[in-house]
Amino acid sequence: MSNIIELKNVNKWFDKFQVLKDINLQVNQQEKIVICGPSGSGKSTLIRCINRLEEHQEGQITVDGNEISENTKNIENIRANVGMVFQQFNLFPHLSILDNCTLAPIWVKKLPKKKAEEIAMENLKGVQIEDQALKFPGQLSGGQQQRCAIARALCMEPKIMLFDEPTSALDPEMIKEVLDAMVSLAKGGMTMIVVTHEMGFAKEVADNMIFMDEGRIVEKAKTKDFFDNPKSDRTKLFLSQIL
Amino acid sequence: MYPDAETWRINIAFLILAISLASIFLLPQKFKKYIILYLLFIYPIIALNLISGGIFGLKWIETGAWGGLSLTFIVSSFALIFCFPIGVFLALGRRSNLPAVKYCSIGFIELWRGVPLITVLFMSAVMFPMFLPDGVFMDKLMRVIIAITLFEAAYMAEVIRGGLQALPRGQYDAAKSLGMGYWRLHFLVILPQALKLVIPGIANTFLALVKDTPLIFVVGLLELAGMIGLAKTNPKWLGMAAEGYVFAGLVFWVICFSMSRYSLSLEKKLSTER
Repeated sequence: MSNIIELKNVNKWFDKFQVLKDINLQVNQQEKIVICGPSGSGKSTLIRCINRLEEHQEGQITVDGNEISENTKNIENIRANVGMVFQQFNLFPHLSILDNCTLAPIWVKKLPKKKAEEIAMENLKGVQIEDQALKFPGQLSGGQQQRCAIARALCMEPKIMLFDEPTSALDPEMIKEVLDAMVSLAKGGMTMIVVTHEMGFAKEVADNMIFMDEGRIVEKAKTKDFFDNPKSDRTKLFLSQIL
Repeated sequence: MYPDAETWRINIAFLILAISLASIFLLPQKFKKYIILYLLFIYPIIALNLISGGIFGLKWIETGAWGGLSLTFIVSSFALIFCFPIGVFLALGRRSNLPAVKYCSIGFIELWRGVPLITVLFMSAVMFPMFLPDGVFMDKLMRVIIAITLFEAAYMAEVIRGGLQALPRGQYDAAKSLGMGYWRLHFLVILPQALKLVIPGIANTFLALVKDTPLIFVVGLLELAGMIGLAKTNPKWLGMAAEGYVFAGLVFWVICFSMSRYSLSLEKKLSTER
């Protein structure tokens, strides 16, 4: 299997504060990685660097064969192949659910409207909110909005999906419906990097676990090893608190 | 002064306008788009040619002779139509990452916001022609309309920038993550939301613009209020100044009130909250 994402010695600073320290990471096609760690450990920044919502200052990031740097001319093309789901959903409130899903396919991928709507309805069906298609985001529950956000990202038919704490802003009873959607996506063979505190989801889906603290990758291991015998003390402490 | 014998031309221009506006409400919805496009691009050409003449055997009447309510409409509608897009680009420019674009926008906005409209009008009418090379001529009315447009565009830019600032960063992130570049991101995602947020502010600027038009009297152009100032010196109307000004005030109120109601209905129509 080939590496679809590769990070080499990536360093990043916010002014003088170093948020990412010497990050090395390879992600294979169809691999599922879950990143966990305390808040402020740089997990969100790490995945935001992968589609360059944040800029890294040192090191190399390669996504699907393209190196991402300030010289990257067609960053939009790379982003179009990398779907992202945010903690705060970030749906476009002025557009209906269906229009949220068709906007980028029509204007970025230049699909005809009819085709885009077909794809959108298919993906909305996949996350089971096809009956909400004509409502506006403000009329939906948090869980429904987040599922719509997943569908919106999938409508671009991305090769990679990034999830930035997708369930952290949700009420407990809505978390399951979003996780279910993510599990079925994982079973479909999508390459996924997920920042989350949902350890049940991680055990079910992840191939590899990453634990981050203070901007470093402290531990990277197969999911089973990670939970059964974590190597570093910091990971043990974190897991004892969260499980 | 516009010759009495030719005022029927202005009346017809108004009549066409009234019929076009009425047809927006009377004809089926699907025509609405075309009528609005016609009002924006074709009607002005018809109306201006009708009023100025010079074709089809109509007598040429120079813009210096135009006046009254028609001039109010001409000046304010042209300024309204042009100041809005200019304001949008200035607002975007002021937030741009490109230093040249950014500082030009800031400079433009602060210059025009920092001077009184009355001096801008003087400059446009008196000073500006002196800087033009020999043989180049620009119509006075056109210069005045451009001056008012640029003046109001500076205010418009700041109103729109207020709306841009109010949008959460997540909207930019989401649009970028879907592969949108600068223009798509702004025209599909950011501006539709930002402009909706600042409809009250935009309406404010538009109303101020309409009510600023009487100031063009300082360069010798007489719109509705200016015309009454002239009429009160006419022996036939001596002692009737109050009536005239009250009437002018009423006309302005009707124009402004209908604009304000329209902006309210637009706010309601665009609202997508629950």
